[in-house]
Amino acid sequence: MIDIKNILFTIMLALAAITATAAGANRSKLDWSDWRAMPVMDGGRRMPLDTFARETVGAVCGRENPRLDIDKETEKFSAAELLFAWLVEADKWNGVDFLRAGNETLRETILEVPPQDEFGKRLRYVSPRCIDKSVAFERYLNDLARAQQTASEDGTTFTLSGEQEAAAELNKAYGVYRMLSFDPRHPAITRTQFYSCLRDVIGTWRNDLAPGLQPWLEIKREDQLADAAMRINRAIQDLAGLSQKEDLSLSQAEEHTSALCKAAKELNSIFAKTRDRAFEATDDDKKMLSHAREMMNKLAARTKKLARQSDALRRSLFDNGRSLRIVPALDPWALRRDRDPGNQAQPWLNLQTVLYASPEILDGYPADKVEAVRRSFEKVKTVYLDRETVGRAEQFAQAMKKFTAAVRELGESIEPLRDKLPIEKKDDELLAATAYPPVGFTANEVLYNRLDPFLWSWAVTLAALVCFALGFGVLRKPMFLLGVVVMTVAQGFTLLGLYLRATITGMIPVTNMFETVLFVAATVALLGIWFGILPILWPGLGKAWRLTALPWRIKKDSQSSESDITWSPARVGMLAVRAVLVVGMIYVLAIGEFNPSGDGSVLWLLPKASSGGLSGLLGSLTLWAISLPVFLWMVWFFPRAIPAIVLSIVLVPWSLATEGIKEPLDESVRRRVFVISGGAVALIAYLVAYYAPGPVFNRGVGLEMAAVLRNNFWLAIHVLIITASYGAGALAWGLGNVSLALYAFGRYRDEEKPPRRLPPKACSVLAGYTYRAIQLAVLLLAAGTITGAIWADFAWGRYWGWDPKEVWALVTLLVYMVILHGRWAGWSGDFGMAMGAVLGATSIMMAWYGVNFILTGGLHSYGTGSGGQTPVLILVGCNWGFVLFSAVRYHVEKTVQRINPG
Amino acid sequence: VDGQMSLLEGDRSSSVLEMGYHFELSITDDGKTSKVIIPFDPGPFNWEDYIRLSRFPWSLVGRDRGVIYDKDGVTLETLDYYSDSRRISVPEVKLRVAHGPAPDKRNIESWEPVTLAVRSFGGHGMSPHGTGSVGAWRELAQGEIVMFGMATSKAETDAFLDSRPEGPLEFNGQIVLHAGGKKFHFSVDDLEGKPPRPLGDSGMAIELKDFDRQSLRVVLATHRVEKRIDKKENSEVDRTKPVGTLVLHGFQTNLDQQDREGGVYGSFWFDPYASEDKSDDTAKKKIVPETSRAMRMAASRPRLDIIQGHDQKLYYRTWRAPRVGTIAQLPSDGSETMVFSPSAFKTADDKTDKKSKVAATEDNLIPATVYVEKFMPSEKPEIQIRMVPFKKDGHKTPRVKVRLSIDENRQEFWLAPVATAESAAERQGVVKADEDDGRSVSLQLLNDTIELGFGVVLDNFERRLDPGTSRPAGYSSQIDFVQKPDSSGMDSAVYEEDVIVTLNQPVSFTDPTDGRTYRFFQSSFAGPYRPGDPQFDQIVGGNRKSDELYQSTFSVSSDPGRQLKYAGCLMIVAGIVVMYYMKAYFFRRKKTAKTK
Repeated sequence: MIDIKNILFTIMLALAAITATAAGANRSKLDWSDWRAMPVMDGGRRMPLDTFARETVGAVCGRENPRLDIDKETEKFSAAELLFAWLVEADKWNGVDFLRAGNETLRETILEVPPQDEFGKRLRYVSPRCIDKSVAFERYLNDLARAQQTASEDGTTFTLSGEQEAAAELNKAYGVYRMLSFDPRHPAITRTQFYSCLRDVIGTWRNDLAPGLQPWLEIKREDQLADAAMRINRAIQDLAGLSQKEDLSLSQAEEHTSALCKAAKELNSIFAKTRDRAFEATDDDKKMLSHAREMMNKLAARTKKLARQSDALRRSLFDNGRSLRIVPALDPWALRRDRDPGNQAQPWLNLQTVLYASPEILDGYPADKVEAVRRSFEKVKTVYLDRETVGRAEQFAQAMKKFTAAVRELGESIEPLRDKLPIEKKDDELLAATAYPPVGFTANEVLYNRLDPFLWSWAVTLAALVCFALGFGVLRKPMFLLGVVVMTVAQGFTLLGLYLRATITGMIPVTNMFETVLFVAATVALLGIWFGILPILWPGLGKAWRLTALPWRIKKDSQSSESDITWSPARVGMLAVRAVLVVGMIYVLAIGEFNPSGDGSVLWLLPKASSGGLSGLLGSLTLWAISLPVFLWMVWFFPRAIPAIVLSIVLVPWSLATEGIKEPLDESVRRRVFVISGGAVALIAYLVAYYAPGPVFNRGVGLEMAAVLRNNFWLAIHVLIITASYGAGALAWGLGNVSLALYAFGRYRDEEKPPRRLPPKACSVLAGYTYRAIQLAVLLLAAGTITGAIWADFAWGRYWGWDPKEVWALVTLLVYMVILHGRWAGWSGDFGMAMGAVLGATSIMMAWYGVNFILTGGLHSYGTGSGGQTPVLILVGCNWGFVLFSAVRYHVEKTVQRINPG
Repeated sequence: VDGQMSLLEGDRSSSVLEMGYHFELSITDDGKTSKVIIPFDPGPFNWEDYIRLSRFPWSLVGRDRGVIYDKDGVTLETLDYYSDSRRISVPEVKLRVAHGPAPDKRNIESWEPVTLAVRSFGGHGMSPHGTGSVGAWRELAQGEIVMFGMATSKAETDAFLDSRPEGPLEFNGQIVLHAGGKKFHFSVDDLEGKPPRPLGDSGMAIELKDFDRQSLRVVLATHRVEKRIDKKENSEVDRTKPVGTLVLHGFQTNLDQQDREGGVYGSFWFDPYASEDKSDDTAKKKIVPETSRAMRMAASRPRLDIIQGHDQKLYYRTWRAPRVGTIAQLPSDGSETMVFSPSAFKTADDKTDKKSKVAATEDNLIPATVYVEKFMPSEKPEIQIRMVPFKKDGHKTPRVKVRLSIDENRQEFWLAPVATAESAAERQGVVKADEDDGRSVSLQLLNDTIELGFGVVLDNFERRLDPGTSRPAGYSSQIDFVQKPDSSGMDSAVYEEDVIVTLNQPVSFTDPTDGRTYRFFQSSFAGPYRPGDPQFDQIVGGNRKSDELYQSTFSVSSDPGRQLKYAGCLMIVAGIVVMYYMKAYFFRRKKTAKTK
């Protein structure tokens, strides 16, 4: 990993000139790397603290690395540092402007703070204290909430104005900040979670349980049950009384909640036992028994709910919602396999609980290790706050290292304890997914965050395009080659970024709009490069292919070629390699049990025995009849193709060296429009993905994937093929637009015989290229749509459900088919090809973006939402305007010639 | 086969519901019943949409409209179809109420919405004598009460408009009655335990049957007075014969029952501030318990009674104990009306009588403004079927309007599929032929179902979430495939036990009776239902030890031609590859032959 880092860093330095803004050097002198890499749990997955900090700081400040005015100085903070500062210096930060509030009306009319400072610079932040004090803001939010509620009751849609949206965002930012920096020791702190949990507990006790328990309590026996119930009642009363007071005493609240938890647990176990007895009992009076059992079911379920809610109440004293969760929790409620959405028990403990909770709450956790974490955190805090000490940086790094090590030790020591927890419905998968991760678990994600690979993708692609642009003037060939190399590097960044995302989420990286756009961009660029440098690669590839052929056949075929015969022994060697691969393929496909659905091998050599009568027999025979040729083809083709590709790595340069590079290179340079338009389309896609605002591009790494789509095998097969086809379509679109530009602005020429006026020569060449790209798009789109149908059949029991996505994929396929057949049949000429490419791209746009964001609905709900309609419509409209303009010019040129021959 | 199967945990089922519908027509002739299945394909949309969007070539889409069965004098005609519908009770009125000075109507969030409807009970239920309907009663945010009911005749409307009591009210209240166009006032104290009192020359008499101090309810029996000649004395004697009942409330006026047959209409008013029972009967005094007093105070809150008159207009009266305020028409065109204004409750004798008490009632009286946002009048209280605009997803309740006739007797009614029908009337429609014929037909709309040759038992359903969040990570069902129970009632054999069906992981099972292979897919779920929920208590109750109950829905499909479809797909892709990329390889020889 370190090697890659170094190499990347070198490249980063080399290209820093182009992207001066990108480097964004962090001026903080402290070493935050250990803090950043510390594993935390948020949003259902384990991530480095860095990612958590970026997400939360982004939500609070509107950007990940905000530039803030503090102590009369403007300083740029990294997300991780800011998060730390909020945790240790809450009082100071209360007065610092950092909550996102850039909207001028919001600032002036509601918050009553100036929109600009005395130098005329726009101010974009307010402080938490300002929000605390602003009565007008609170009233504004209340009005807004009421208006939204009324609208939802009436079933009308409520669109937020810019100012309302800004207010809602500010409120959210404030909420996130308060949750993060929650200090349980502070008596006057707002304990929203605690009060809502308390309401739940009281509701359950008074409505669900107390009436049902009456018959038991009225007997007034001095037994365990009555005692537990009485204790619960008392604890609830105490807590209700406590919550009435202005300042909540933490120690008292802890005491009462602990008492409540204990009593609730006791009560639950009493009823669980009574229920067991009721279900074991045999009684002649069936009706009576059944009634008792029903009663017991009810009481056992409800006392369990009360026990769970009491635990939640106790936790909420230290945990007010989204916060920094640093070690696994010993909480059986959070680890149930069938936890329901009402149970929000967290699988990890947050920093505040570890630091401040009483030993009673941290019962079961190794006390010495908790103490070590507390001490080391105190140390880090002291070093951080003591800004004047000499050697602060070293001390800080050391202290931080100690702290993260202490946390790790605590986290790892909890692991064996978690295994012994009395979890109802234990789930090993869930336990593994919430275990304290091994060292280096977060490294990839930290690297991903720091590297920001997609920034490099677009920057380096832009550099490649600059090379090509220079190539039109000077150093045609060297510049072309340099451009190709640079562009390949750029795609390398994209692939690296996507690879890192895949290692982080464990899903094929095509799970949302952001990832698919990046994937398509890389595909377009790589396809462009492939088509462009094919003349260079072709001789070597051909050689490699022939080399892997069966020795005896080639001998017969290639008597003319001298060089082939000299390779004969090598060919025999290749035969051995092929034989090994054939055996391997047969094993993987027909013997080993690799079927994704888990029953046996992927394909069968003999018809599968069927129990289903005639139709079953027919079915299995057909299946066999199809799979056998496929199997034979695969076994024949792949063992030849794989060595051929490996060999071509050597043979391509070798063949260029022996046969001369000039001719293929000239041919490639002639075809550079492939590479350039591929690069240009990729650049547009990268820029859109990287910079487009709003909900369309959710750049965060996460698990937002709908449950029904969580299947890597089909995701890989179906989505990769489909997005690759979008890539091919986008390449055709780029080529089409280049030729449209030639139609619109190129120099038309006259031909003598027959007398007619023609567009630039390149147009027909380009039409040929477009045709090639569309061919590929059609192939991939057809394959992708069909694999999609097979997935749908496999997963949902239907091939085709007229889901919007399915319909539009079909529309796109048909559009491309019409274009290809139209050209084949002579309905449309070169101009039709260019126009067709734009038409096809428009329908791709609809199938890709439109279905998710304009039609919204259906099962393909990755990254659905709304937003971006206007820019997309403008873009498509402009493109069609351009088509129209070119068409007019083309038509005028042709007509002019007809009127005025010669 | 492509359908759905829904199971609760612990349930067993062997039938698969398909998308389509069919009618089941049962013709009974002399005690013999024959059944006819009539397939019915309504198409996906409300039929109204076909007319509304008439530009589309809808004729291409088949749908079974018009006469779909006609044989032996029995005709079934489909008239209309709603792909999604709901039942609403009419008359219905939607009010907007604002307290204090009336805000701007555009500022809709400051107006409190109140929707009130008269619900019919189809001749059964709460009112055995009345129209089989009950009015609506709502409490507003400030504690005022709004009541909505309906009057079916002019006399009843007039009685409402002229229901103001006379003189000071008593603690136990006054009954205002209308009969034969005349108005009568009775004190409850005067009526209690007395024989029937005649109502002028209307030919009716009333008798107080019961006075419930707890719920402030009086029950009156109406009697028809008949002149009989007493033979012994040879003079005319009034004989009374009970004909009907009036139930009047001081608080929940929506539950009032008028004697519509006898033409006696009434209202009940009382004064909670008046001195208690005048009678010296201490036993009676004892009866007024604390709860009754609380009830009286609750009932003395401002109340707005609204009715739909016989002319399908709205009328209202306001009440604030011990006074009736304005009685007038309520405009339904959306114009605002001020109610509960203190001046409306003032009378001339306020100055002298009960000064302090009335003043107390006025002190905290907040005037309110009301306007009618929507009013759906109806001649009689009934349930109407309303179309819900087409929506793509979600649960739908289709309904179809049919005309069923046998010989000359025909009837039009709405039917819903039996599985989703909400009342007996829309579950089954019956038409009888003339009596001498003795034939009758009944009609039901049913889902197409397929009976499998085996049973499926849902053992357990499980939903998983991503750790610490409420985002679903997947759901799965554990099912058993079992033999269908035969007539002997023996325990059925289990074919396959504890099969797990998960999202993305269907399970195949071959029907042992006919060799068809079915695939089971996890499609959706409902629940969890917990102890206390009706679903749980009905299904689980005390039968087994359980905390929650889920319902799991599977898609079930069987497609013997699946392999052929796969073959076709493969050939398309292979064809494209060959055409575009391997043409030279395949057609080389032919070409060379040509050039030679």
